[in-house]
Amino acid sequence: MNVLILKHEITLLLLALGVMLADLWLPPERKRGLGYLASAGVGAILICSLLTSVPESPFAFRQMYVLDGMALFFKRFFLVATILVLLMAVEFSDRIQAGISEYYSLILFASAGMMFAASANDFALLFVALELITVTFYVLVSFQRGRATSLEAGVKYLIIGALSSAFMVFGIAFIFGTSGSFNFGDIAAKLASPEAGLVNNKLFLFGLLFLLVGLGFKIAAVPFQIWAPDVYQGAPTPTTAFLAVGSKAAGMVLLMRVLFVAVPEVTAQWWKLLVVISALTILYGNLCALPQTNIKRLLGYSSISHAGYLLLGIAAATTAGQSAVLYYLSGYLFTVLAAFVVIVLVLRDTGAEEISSLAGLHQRSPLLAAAMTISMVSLAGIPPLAGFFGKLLLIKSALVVGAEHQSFYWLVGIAVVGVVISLAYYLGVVRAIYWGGEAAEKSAVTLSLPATLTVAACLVGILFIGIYPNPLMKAAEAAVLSFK
Amino acid sequence: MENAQAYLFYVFAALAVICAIMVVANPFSRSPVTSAMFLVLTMGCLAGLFTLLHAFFLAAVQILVYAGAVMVLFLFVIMLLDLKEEQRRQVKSLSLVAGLVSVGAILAIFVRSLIATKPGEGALANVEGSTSKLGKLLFTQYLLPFEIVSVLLLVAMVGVVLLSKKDLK
Amino acid sequence: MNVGLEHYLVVSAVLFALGLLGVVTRRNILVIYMSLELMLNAANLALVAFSRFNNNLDGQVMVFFIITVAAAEVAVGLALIVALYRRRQTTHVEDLNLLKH
Repeated sequence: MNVLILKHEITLLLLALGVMLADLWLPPERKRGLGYLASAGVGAILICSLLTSVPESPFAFRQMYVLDGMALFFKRFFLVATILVLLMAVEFSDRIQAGISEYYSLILFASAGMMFAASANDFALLFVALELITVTFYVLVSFQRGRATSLEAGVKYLIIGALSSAFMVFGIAFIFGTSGSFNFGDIAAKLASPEAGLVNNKLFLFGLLFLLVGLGFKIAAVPFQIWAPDVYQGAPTPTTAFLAVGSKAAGMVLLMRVLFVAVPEVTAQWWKLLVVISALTILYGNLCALPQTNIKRLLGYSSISHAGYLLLGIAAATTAGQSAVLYYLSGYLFTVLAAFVVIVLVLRDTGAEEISSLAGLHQRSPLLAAAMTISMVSLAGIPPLAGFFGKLLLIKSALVVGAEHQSFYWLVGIAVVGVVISLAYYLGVVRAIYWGGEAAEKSAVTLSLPATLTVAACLVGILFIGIYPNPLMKAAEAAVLSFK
Repeated sequence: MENAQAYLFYVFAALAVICAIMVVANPFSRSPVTSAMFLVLTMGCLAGLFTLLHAFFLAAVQILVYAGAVMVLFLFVIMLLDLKEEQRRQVKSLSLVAGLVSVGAILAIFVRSLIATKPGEGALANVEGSTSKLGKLLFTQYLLPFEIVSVLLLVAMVGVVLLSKKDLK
Repeated sequence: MNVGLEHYLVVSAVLFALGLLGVVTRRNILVIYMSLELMLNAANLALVAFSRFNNNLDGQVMVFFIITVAAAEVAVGLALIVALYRRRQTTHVEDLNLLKH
């Protein structure tokens, strides 16, 4: 067995430890710059991962860990997200009273947890990786200890996180008990053999249901979404961004691995459940986002609705649906991070997070106003941006399945209704920027060079994925092949 | 011998369930201290059940970590915060109904699937959870999760220090 | 009078359900957190029982991980609850009402 198969995770963990140690010797005024160093280090790991191809024997630790195309795709995804979130955290550092270096290193630890989650092929690894992410996020969410809202969000996330872990563990116990293994491959083999009768084993399905409840909490699908708006609103903005992109994607990759690698036979039977949850999630997220006035809370509800769209692709359970999920997540990464970077940069002085405080942004900083507009338009799914193609691919995959199962037509209808509803609140943000009346504060927003580059990187990502969808589509299709 | 084990099972199981009821719905006291003390008893009964299942190492860990460390931490925090006025507030009937319905639903699904499956049929119990066997598994097959858990403990340590440092410098 | 796997599973499910009942009905964050520990313990019991009756030690290794993770989670969680108490002088869920639109 080759330990080098873990090289990305190990270097990432070493980087996290290094950042934490560097804090001891650096003078306080230079600690802020550690974030640049950390993101440069993650960038190096990203380049290394781009040069890595799937090894001949992708399994390690007795098939517990797998480095297939899917894992590699998501590792790159998490590394890109980590770089952008770290750069965002540097801009945010003046609002964190103590321990900025620990903030950076905790982001790196959470990222390492996501990398392990991307490779999990065993329930033991799934549980441990997910807990690493969750426990790190408890601290990241409540990091602004001086703000009561941050602490409140932290406690809410704590209770919900622990509840979802309890459900997941209880489910895993019954899956283990009935199938006799934690390994996805073994469980799939046992499911496929008719004499074992696992497909109709009620206790096995009971355990699987509980596991899905636990994962449902992580991706904030209805009816397990209650925590998302509060936590998104109260957490420090870079944490919210990482929660929206990283934590959700980690939940998604685990959900896909469980559904398509471990229990494909059950997934084929349970598509109705997934369709209903997807429809409810889309409707709930979009309808509740309508009256929001706080921009972070709005994005919290919007992230619920996006979880619904992603579930649409998973419910379709086809290769096209799965690759559409990967494509959609990648577009979502750049789009949502662009929005959060703008929030960090613009609402720096006022501390308010109301949508109305974005008024007159085009006079204060045309670049940020354009970035926010493009991000909102992409989230709404207007061509030619990343969000449009993602939705198009998802809906296309659902329509193909619709020929077989009529209810997918209904689901597509609900998705389209959701897109129309979402136009109202996304364009409401754009209206607030350009036609929201006079700016309360007229001074131009000063941008540091790294901040400008971060915004530019997000914009390039949105436009490139939207206008040249082919390279990413190819990559997503190649990644999905590892489920075959 | 068989009978003695069966009696012990019923004693531990009944005690565990009664103590668990006292944790969540104590009719005499709503103080968190009583809940914590009954939770310690529940943990103890579970350690007894682990012993009956020949999981000797885990029974010891259960007492050491759960009853010894985790619950002491709970009690310590309860004493530190000196919670008194909490006891006066009443349970809302809406949440009580919601709780009972969800719990009833879960139990109903569980019992139905248990009856449909009969998992215990033909099961022969002869596995021993001895320390050496568990240790071997932990350091060979389960090495990776083990190492990740060590990272998790580091994160928890850093997090606790950050969250409870007195001054925000 | 033979005690089989089902007996242990029933105890485990009852404990899990009681824990869930506590999470939904109790209003003190500390008691809610204790109920969550109860739910995790219920899962541990199920794992150990399955491990014993399936002749498979893997379940006990998982319990080991769960206990460790739970201890770490409790440490962070209690630190967080104490930080909240220092700031707001409450451990009551209904006082957590700052985050609304």
